[in-house]
Amino acid sequence: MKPGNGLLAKRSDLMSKVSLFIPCAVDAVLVSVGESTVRLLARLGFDLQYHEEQTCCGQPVITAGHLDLARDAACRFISIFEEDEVVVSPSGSCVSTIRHDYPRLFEDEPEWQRRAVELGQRVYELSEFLVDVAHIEDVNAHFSGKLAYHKSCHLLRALGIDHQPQTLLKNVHGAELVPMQDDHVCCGFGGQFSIKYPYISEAIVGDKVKNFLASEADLLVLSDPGCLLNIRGYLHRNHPGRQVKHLAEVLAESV
Amino acid sequence: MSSRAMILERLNSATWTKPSSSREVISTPASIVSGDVEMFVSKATAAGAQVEEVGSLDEVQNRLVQIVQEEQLQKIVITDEENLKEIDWEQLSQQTKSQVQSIAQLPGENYRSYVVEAGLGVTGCKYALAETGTVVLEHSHSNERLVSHAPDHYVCIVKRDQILKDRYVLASLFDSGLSSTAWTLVTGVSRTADVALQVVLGMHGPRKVTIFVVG
Amino acid sequence: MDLRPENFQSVAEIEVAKVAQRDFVVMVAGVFNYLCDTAMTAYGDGSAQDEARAAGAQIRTNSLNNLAELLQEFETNANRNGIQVLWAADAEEACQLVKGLVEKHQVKTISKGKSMISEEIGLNHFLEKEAGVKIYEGDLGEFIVQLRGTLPFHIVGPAINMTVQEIAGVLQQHIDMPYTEVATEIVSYVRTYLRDKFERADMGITGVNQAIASTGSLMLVENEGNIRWVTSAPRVHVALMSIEKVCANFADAFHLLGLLTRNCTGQAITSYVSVLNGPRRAEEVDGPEAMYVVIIDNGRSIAYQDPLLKDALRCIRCGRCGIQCPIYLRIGANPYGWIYPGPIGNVIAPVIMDLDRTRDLYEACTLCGGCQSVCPSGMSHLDIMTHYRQMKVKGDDRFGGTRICIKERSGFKILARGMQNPGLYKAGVKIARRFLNQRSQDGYITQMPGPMSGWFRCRDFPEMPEKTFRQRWQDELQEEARQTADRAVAHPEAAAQNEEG
Repeated sequence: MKPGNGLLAKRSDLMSKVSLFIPCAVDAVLVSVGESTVRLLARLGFDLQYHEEQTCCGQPVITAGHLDLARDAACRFISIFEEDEVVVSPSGSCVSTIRHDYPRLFEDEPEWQRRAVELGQRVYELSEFLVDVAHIEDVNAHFSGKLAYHKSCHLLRALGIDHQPQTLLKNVHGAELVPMQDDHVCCGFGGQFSIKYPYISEAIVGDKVKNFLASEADLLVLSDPGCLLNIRGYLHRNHPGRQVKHLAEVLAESV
Repeated sequence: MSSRAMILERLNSATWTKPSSSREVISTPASIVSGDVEMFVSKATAAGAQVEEVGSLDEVQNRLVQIVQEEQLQKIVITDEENLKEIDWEQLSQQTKSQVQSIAQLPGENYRSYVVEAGLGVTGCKYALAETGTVVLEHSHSNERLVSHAPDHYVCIVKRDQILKDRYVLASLFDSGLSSTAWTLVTGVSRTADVALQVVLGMHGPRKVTIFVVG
Repeated sequence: MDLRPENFQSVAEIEVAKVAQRDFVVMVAGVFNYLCDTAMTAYGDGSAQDEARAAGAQIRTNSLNNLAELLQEFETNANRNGIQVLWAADAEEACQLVKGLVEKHQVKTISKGKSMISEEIGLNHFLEKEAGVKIYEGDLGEFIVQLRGTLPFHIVGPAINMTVQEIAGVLQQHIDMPYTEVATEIVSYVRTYLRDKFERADMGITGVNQAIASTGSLMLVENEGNIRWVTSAPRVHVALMSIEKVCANFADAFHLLGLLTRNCTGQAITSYVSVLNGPRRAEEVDGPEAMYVVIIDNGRSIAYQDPLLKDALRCIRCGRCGIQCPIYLRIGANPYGWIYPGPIGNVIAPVIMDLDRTRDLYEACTLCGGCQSVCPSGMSHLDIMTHYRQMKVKGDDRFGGTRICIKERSGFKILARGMQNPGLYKAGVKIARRFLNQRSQDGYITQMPGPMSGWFRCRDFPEMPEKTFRQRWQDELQEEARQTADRAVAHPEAAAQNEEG
């Protein structure tokens, strides 16, 4: 399928405008993930928008239990993005925060809850947006070698996104998507968990990497900045030369 | 306040709103009640039972004679159920030179000391379940609980028309009332995997289960 | 090792280092997950399986919504069947009630079916000490754990982490078994040893899988046959149940049974399912003369009053969540410091113990959601665990949670302020960059003292680029993206061909 053709044929004009939600970890550390997201979506003809006043969705504060501290930030986030038709983010985890956690922050504030729910329906993870909304399954990307795919927890279980990223990867020219043992099992990141319980985290990420190496893939691909920092950091320390990349980074490499 | 009153008081004073009970019962259409014999045989076999389809109770008797002789069993205990009465136990006893006692003939103390020494226990059943290869025993003075549990070898005689489709049919029968003191659903052989995950048959119950499907 | 939830951190650090045990447990979990997944196909394809689980969840919802009514209905019908129903507010009262029954019936020895609630209330220890009785666990794994005096490793496979050699050693030491590493010989020896106890025991004690309200019946599920002995041979049968183990009728009970066994051992049904409706009748020999059910609260009714925490009572104890949990599979049961390890413990222990003592249980979790994705009773483990975290942050009198200290909260306050103020956020990134990058070597930071040191135990951290995404967007990405998109829209064919070429 030719990317431009399929895309323009199926996409309404409204959909061509995409607002970027770039999580803080991508903004400050994994900048290349954000850059790849931009290059990929632009190549597919989307008119990109980036609200420069955006910061962080507040997930670390919410999961640690400080809901009171997260509410104001959530209101701010909603106000920034709620006029947008479509918001896309290269992070399943952060999308899950908006879609699932925000409405729960406002159990006692129905008006804000309504706004949170409505926004949640228009915030998409990158692969979800491409496959389910824009109906693009082949982005004309290229990679020579074998790919393994790690199913990030929030992407898979909180958002139910599974076939979308795999479809996109299967259609990467020159690449072969190979199976990996326990691909659906957590990588041991868990935000604060990785710092507070480092020895448990080490055992989990160690097994993840063992399975990646056993898959004989040349590259591990995933779609969550948290898992990326965790696995990349572990590989750099223990298996220098072995690579993990974000889905956006892989898809941005065109033929 | 008694603990009972306190517990119920707390349960009743929960602040969340309880929705009026809407119940989705998993039901089986009443028309499908009887179970498939082939399925029963294959499921029971998979669970570790030895299953034989026989034409009549005479055949069961012949097979029992063979079993008793092969395993050189001395003591046999049988329940006081109707469908066992068509077997000529006296003849079987003479043929195999073994002792056969019906629980009807054994007063309390004697029954208990006999049943734990018996090498073979024979019972009928009330129902069987095709879905899982299960026999359903209704216990009473005519089917004491340990006849099917204490002996090393347990034989159950199932009539074809006793086989129900599945547990949901049994549930509806139970839900319409059950009067006996105890029921047991027996599926295959007693087992354990507690020693390093190795499946070993015959933990605390029979080591061997034979089911005759009659009719 | 002092196994208490308060010591989670130190015990976990020891346990996680047992690499051979870890690898074995992960392997075993893989096998059981496969067996359970296969067993669930009896319901049909994925969506049919979801429906079966949803029906299980609905049954549990109904039971919890009508809990007080169902317990009273059960009591009335059980009484009519000749079963005496006793109620215990806490572990102490439950133990005293059983001790009273031991004395009343002049009980010397007790045989037991595997029961988690009896372990929860510490019944064995209490009765042996306070009533001078001898107690024999009937379930092989539980018996081994009883002899060894350790915590059960898994609620279904208490000794599943032990090697044949370890098991043989324990049995040789405690019950004089001639040493053998052949599983069938071990089973055979214990069978004979316990058979004698079963025959002679005065009282049998079991748990309850489901109490059926409409008929006053008990349903008990097992593979080994110990429960059949324990409920058939002794003069007295005492069944212990926690308040949530009741359902309306057999249709409900049998549906839950199918979900329980399929998610527990991967069986469509276990070897034995006992349905008990009362003590033996005059003309019967097997079965107890007297039968009691002890309904135990032990903190649950307080949890029940909370709209969210009541869901912690959904659990039917299949143990499936445990073999999904990446943390439990790496550290085993000991760090949880209690009889319910893994996600079940994380959810239940805080309301039965208290929020302070069990803090690591609900915090040592990556919120991966593996547990709730397989749960057949509709438990939302993550909602409950994050709820505990929220309760701990605010402090909660009902469950013994003292408010967290200001120092601990300050980090999150700073983060929250940064989220609301882009200027502060940018300044924060700048400070972090300077702080991190000064330690960078070849693009990565490899160690750091202080609160972040945990990260660097096994992994590095990439240095922060000089320009954030936001700056790159302003400087060049925005313009570049506009041009690329324009080109793609104006000349889709050309763009595609260009790219292909």
